[in-house]
Amino acid sequence: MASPCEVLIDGASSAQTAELAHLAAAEVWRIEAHWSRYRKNNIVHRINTAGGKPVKVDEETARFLDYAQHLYQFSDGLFDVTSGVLRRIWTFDGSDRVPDARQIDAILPLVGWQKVDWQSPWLRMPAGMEIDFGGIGKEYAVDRALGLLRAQTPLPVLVNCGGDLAASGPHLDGSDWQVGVEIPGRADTPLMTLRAGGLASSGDAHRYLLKDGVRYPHVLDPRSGRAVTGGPHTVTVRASSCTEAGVLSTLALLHGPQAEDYLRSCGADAAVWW
Amino acid sequence: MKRQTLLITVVALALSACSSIGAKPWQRSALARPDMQVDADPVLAGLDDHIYFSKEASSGGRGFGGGGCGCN
Amino acid sequence: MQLKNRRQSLTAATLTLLGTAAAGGAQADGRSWDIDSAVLVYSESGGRVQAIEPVVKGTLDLGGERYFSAKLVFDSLTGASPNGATPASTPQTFTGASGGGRASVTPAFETPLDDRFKDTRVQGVLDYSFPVSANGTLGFGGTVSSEYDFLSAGANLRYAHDLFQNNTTLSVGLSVEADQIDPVGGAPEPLTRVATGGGGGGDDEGEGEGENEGGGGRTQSKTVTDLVLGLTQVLGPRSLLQLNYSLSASSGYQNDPYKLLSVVGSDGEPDYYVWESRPDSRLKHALFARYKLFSFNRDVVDASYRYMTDDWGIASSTIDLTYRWNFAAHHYLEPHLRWYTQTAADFYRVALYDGEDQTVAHASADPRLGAFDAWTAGVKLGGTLNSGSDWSARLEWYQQQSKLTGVPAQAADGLSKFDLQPDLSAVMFTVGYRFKW
Repeated sequence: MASPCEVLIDGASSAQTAELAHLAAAEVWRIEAHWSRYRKNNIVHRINTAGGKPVKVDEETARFLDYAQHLYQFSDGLFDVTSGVLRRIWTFDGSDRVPDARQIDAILPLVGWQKVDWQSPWLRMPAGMEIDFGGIGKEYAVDRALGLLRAQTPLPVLVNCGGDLAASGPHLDGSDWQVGVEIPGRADTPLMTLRAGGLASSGDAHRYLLKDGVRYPHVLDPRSGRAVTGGPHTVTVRASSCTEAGVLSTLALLHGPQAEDYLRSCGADAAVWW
Repeated sequence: MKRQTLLITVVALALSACSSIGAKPWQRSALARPDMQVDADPVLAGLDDHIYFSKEASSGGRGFGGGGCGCN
Repeated sequence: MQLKNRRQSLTAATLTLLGTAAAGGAQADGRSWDIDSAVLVYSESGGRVQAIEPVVKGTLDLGGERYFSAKLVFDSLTGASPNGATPASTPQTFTGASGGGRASVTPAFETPLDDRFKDTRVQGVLDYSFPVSANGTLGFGGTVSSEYDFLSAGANLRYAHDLFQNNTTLSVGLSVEADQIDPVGGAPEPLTRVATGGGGGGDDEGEGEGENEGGGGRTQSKTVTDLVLGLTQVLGPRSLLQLNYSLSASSGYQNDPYKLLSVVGSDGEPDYYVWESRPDSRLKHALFARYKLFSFNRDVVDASYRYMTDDWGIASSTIDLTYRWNFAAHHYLEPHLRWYTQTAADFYRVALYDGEDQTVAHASADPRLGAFDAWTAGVKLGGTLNSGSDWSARLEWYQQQSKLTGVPAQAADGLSKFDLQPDLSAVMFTVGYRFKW
């Protein structure tokens, strides 16, 4: 979640904007601290170092794990919060170091939500497995921050964290928010409009491996442990919340060449760049 | 009656004791289908119950056996 | 439809995650009635009972796993059913509806029918279920049913408890029903002579009428108490098993006030007729098992078995099989086969032998209490429309094959020339439609 965040409020004084921006920032930082896998004293750290013992989680994490479980079912295992350990063998540094089948087979036993025993509020995970909320944590923080601001002001608000954003409603003059989507490797910035709800993009950014002419993007299928090749560079989705948009854009990317078919089958409002 | 009640309790415990039985929450997509519910079409089942109640000496089993009609 | 539903489930799950599900407007406009409706047309061959039965049921999702439902059933019957008397070599005359109606003449060698059989039934059912704990659901309901000569009111209470990550559900249900029977012309005194308009037996008319006068006329009643203990066990990701034990205790007036028996001589010809007499209580036990399997990642197998036994001496077995072939994304074809067999009640008699009506405590010639096998075979076609509504149409054939029991030995030869238990066959057609409203 190391992305810059901004808060835009239509028709507010600069003092009010600063006050509300602090409120939003505090919420984003709170969530970041709560679930960052880089911190040592949070719930994610406790879960990942439990060594097979059950861990009792707080109410917010429990809701997140319920959601993770739903996403796992919804996506037939494609969306899996336990897939983070694949990073141990996949390092997307632009090199040609694609892991071989033996390395993948060795790590796969540590991936798979189906191996997790989740009975709210208790979570028990086999030793060595890890969970990582990075895939949807940022989008969740955007929605939460917007929720807080919406409770403070009736003015139209937009929260943007590194291109994942959510708006409470259209501008005061009734016009839509204009959002520029940054596509890696493209000079121009396509514009999308947002009236209310969320917009999120997923892309392989600059993180990939290149071997024998095949580009392996930073998109890993947790079921096979392999990178999904042949898919689009960036998928942008508009939905009722930033979180939902983020889930759909991530899943679309994981569908590789079938990304657009998948989005259509979900009835998603999306733009795809190849 | 007491004996049969006991039997059912024992079966419940026996079934649950076996860890290979059942489905994990993420394996329930088939079980969640409307056509996999034990009472998938209750209105049709109710019509069937009524017909058989008025033509045969047996009723119930699936649910309550009362007929609520003077047809038997 | 299914993908759209999945997307809706994602939206709903996201709202829950964000903690806005309760406060948001999404739920308010999501509250709608699920309407489940059907019409059954039932037609017996040989001009016997014809029925048409429309049903409409509405279920309201109140959120938080709370459901309210209301159901209305109409049932319109016409036609004739056997009155219990055996055929005779000469025409038999019966006055319909316990002497109150017009007389009807049954030709020689034919099964006497009661063609007074014309009735309209209206039934209303209300039900509410809600969670009482993380794993427990309570439900209660009430039902009232009314027809010309019958009034029934019932109430039930159910509790279901989920265990082992919802893999096991234990349930218990209790139902109490009170019935009031107001037969046309009064409830006849059991085993007294039936007034006839001069029957084949040649018995004196006045005698019959005289004996009937002393009979009922009172409103009769009975109560039925049902207990059901259930277990539903998920066997694996694709199969489940349901087991029910049920106990049903009925006490009070059990007779069919329009059914009678022939009292025959050794020649098999009726001398006179008496009203049927059943015990004033009945205790039934039933075991029910159902297995459901999702097969070929597409179809659904549903197999069930029921064993029932009661203290009237009836035992029955029912096997029911359906195979739902989901041959296309939104269509299915479902063949259905049902086999049923029952033994006769201890007091079931085709007819009584001369004078036996003075010695037996109970007797009934109601074919539903005799021994028979029955087959049902049918097929259902159904689908989902673009609007998300479900429709179905089902055509079935029902055939009873009786097994002759309860023939008085002294008159067996005399009765052997008659078709004592004509088989029953019927066609049933049902259409169903489910939609959101």
